[in-house]
Amino acid sequence: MILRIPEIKGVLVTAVLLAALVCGCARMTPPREADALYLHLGAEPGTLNPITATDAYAATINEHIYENLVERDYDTLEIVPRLAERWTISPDRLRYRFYLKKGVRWSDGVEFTADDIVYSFRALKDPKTASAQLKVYYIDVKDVRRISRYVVEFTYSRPYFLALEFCGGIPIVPEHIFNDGTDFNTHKNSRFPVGTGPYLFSRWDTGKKIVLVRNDKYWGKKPEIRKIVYKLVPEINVALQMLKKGELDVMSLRSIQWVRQTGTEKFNSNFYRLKYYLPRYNYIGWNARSELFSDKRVRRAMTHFIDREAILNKLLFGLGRIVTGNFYIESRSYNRDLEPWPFDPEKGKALLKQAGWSDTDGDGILDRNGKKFSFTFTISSGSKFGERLTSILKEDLSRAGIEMNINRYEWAVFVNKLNSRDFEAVTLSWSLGYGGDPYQLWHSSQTERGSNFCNFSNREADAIIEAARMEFNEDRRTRMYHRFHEIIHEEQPYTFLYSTPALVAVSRRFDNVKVHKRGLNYLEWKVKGK
Amino acid sequence: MKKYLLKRILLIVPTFIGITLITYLMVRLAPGDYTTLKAGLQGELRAGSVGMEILEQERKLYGLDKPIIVGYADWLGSFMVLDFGTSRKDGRPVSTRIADALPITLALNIITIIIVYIISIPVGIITSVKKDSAFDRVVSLVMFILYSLPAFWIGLLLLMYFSGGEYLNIFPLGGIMSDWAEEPGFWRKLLDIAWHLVLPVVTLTYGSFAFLSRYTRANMLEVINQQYITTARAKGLSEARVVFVHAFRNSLVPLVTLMATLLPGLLGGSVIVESIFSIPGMGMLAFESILARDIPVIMAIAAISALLTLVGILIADLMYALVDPRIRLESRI
Amino acid sequence: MSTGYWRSVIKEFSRNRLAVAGLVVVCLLFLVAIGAPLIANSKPYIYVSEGRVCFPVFHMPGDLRGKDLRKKEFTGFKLFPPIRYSYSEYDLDAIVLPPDSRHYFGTDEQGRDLAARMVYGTRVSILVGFIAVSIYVLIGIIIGAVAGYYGGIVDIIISRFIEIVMCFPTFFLILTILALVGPSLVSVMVVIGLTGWTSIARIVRGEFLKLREVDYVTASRALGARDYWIILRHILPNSLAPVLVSATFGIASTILIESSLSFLGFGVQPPTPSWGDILSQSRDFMDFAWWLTLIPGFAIFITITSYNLVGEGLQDSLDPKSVKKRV
Repeated sequence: MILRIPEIKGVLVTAVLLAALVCGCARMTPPREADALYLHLGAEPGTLNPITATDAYAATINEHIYENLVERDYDTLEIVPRLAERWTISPDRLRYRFYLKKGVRWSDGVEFTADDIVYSFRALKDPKTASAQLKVYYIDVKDVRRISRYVVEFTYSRPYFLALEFCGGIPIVPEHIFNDGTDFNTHKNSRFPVGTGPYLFSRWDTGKKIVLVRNDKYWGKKPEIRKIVYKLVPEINVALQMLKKGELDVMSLRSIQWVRQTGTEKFNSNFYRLKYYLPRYNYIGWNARSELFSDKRVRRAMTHFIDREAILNKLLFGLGRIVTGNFYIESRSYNRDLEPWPFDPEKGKALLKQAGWSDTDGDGILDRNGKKFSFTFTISSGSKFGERLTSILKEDLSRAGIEMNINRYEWAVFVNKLNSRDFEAVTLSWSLGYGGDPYQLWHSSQTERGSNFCNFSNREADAIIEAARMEFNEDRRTRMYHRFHEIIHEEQPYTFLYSTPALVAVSRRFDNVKVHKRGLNYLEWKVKGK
Repeated sequence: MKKYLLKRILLIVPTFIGITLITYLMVRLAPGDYTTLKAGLQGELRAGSVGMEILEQERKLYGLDKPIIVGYADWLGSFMVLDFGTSRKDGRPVSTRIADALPITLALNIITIIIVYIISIPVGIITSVKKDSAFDRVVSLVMFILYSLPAFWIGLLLLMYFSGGEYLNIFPLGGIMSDWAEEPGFWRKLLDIAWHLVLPVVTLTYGSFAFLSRYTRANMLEVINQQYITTARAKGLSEARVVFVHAFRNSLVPLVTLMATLLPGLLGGSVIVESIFSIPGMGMLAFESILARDIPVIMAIAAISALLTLVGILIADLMYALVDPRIRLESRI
Repeated sequence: MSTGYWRSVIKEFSRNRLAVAGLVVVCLLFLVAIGAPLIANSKPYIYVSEGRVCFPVFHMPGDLRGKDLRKKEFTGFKLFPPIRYSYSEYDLDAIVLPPDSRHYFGTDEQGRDLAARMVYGTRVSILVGFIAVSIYVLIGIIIGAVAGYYGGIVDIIISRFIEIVMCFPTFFLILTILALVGPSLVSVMVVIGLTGWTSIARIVRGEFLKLREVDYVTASRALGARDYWIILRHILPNSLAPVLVSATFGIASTILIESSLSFLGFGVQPPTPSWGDILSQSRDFMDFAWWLTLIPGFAIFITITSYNLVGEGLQDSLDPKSVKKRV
């Protein structure tokens, strides 16, 4: 009774049938819930504690659970009341008093009061709390005091035009939950947030999804959508497939996906494709500390060597706008009179010649005093845009006589290099708030240990930044920022690249999907047919 | 025997310390540390979030400013009392994070091992009996090809062609379970998980058939040519009895000892397969932790793997010696 | 070791058709790797115009530098390599295109010709394979030899050490070291070399332990020969056979490791083409760009198979037992 080939065949056939049976049964998975919204999460947030969270994913989720004293209107971007009904500002602009809405409750029923705000502020400033990324914004806030049950006052040490935004935007956590003696950083409610907002946290299946359900006791206008499910899908191409299959409802697309993989009629009949600009831009940063790029002419020349139009059209399929400066392109502070430096390799070569660079030894590479024009471009290994940009730049620059090497590092190492200023050129993007204060990035005090890692230092710019921080008149401040923008344009500490829009595909299962200046507001969406 | 056992167990200690110390050294010396992740995620920095004060404060919080030896001693001390520390990424205890990822990897590995054994051993036996026949040659060729196919390529192809919306849509796009509105019944849940695991398991198993079937075949061949088999045949026993009862039994030994060496592999997830199929197992945990310099997690994984490997080797050696009296234990140090 | 032995090994090997096929492929890959600039290049082999002859592939005359000789404006006699693209030149108008008459294998995300990148990718594979394996064979032989020959306490310590290295889950160890030194072609080769020597060391050690007591060694010692002479002249050549087999399989597995690392983003840096890197970039276009997935994967498969075939062939022809079989 040795197994013969026919027997083996029998076994195989049985195995195949079994597998088919498994698949068949398993296919009877339930259809997705009709009135739930399935959103795509690219990576798992570390924590949902709004004071210690650092990533954008946590911010997205927390937006629906936690609320702040004020918020920005979706269309006008003005500061409007949220948990605070009104506020007063002292004439010296140092004291901000907020009058809280009464009767707002945390999702566990306890009332929201000024104590929560005072506690949150103290927790944020506490040196033991891992909130370094926020502490930076509240350095000038001297104190937060409870005036009465529903009134709280912030005191600034110096007037600051964004004070209202920052005080009003402070993350607020429930004092009665977090103030229980356990370590704030690892508090169990970091994984089980309790908020006052339109959605309640329901569950977090690690590695899979985070679920929110509608807060039926919400003090404000209740959203239509009963449930939001954030599905964790790290692979972006898998996410796209899931979107097409209907397992996801909303997804942010890359430009090539927008153009090549979602352009069909079939796709458009099932999905909206929406585009809107957020305050962010990408750039090439030239380290002014390095020998090559300390010279303004060299930096300007580099900008002339880079064909931004072509790269935008070809690499990003035209989805984006070239920017010339640091401000949000839709804001008033952005100086629209400034034209981007054109792609002009001849001008670039002329500028370099002025700076002393020319090809004296005929090897095709520019040199000066025996040294070749050769530099290293540092990118992070996860950045696709960086990889493609540098590959293109390397070719283009070599034609102009410049030798460029590419160093690719993991993100952790890359940030380390930024911090230690160990680079010559980098490409990155900044994600800004709507406020627009250039202090953190451009003031000379931030060059040693702050975010001004390209070492931009200009006296006039410094003076403007400092004065603007205390300028409450918007027109005057706008003029100051326009002048600042001119200076940056002259100096080219960065070669500014593009402000790229958010490209979002939304399932047509939902109605009332509108694009606001701030983006999309899930709270107003309705399920079709309901 | 007892003395030998004791000696080996004692020797595990310095080896273990060596492994974990070297791991700790490498991770501490590696450029970048967890605090750099506070600056933002891949590619996009939040304005103002990069700054030295920030990072130094964080560093102190996590004890990264202590010298390496102190850091290691701290860790070792905690480890001895089974305190694995808290993960830097989300502040949860390392044991919880491992407890989340481990069952998945364990399940995948056990299923893989079972399937590999179920298929390879019979194939090995048959090819040894039908040595040099057409069957033997075809099977060898197929096994060989399977062995040479790169796992990440096959995984990608399987995902693309059998689960993507564009081609065949039989399997899910990854993950372990579907989304259920309410908790499904036990069998439903099991079927669902099985359905999700088909493609990853296929990717994990196909390459291993070659080795095990060849190993079985080789061992069987060695045994079959022995005297006692000829004797058994001469005694008139049926071919089946000869093969299964006598030959196979005797070639079992190396197979079983092989299993002992699989022990450490049980907990190691394949980073590649997990990455392609979006499975949150030990492989992804280890990979992410290395990228994030999440030291407590890295150390815990290294320590557990090291222990298991050492124990696995010990067991394998013991079984070898137990089973084959010709091998003297002392020479197997 | 007499030449007679090796001659019979070669004869045995050549009888194994698959192994020979594998060897042929390996040699072909070698040739492609070495001749890459002659196979895929945007510059012609020879360019004759206005009475002068030049060979741009080898040396580009100063006045033509930076110019694209493929353009029609350059009249005269031009002879181009079979693939007229260099591996790094991009064409933003030709992003992710399927294979056609211009781009035989299609293009990638930056419009780079896939065929050219595949050709240059051979270099990475072969280089990593050979150098990493050479490193670890050397390390393995030295360590194994020392442990096996001297035995005793030396052996115990060294075996402990081998155990320590073996205990590290290999991939994990490689990733950790690469995090330390930063991934690049060189660091990948060195790291794989530093982590893969354990099996070779064990083989060599085993051989040494066995052969230590063999007659002619004892005889040599009796004749007063020095230790290292014995090692070199007698023991090493005997252990070469299994080491060679292990090394051949090692090359295959090294190529696999390197592609896996590049696939994860931890390997070779851009714009150097590596097959694993191309595969990882193909993930985003899996749903329509089949050429980016099938072609590099197939190349890796063929390469690994060929090395494995050669290894198998060597194993069969070097194993005295199987020699007997075939007689």
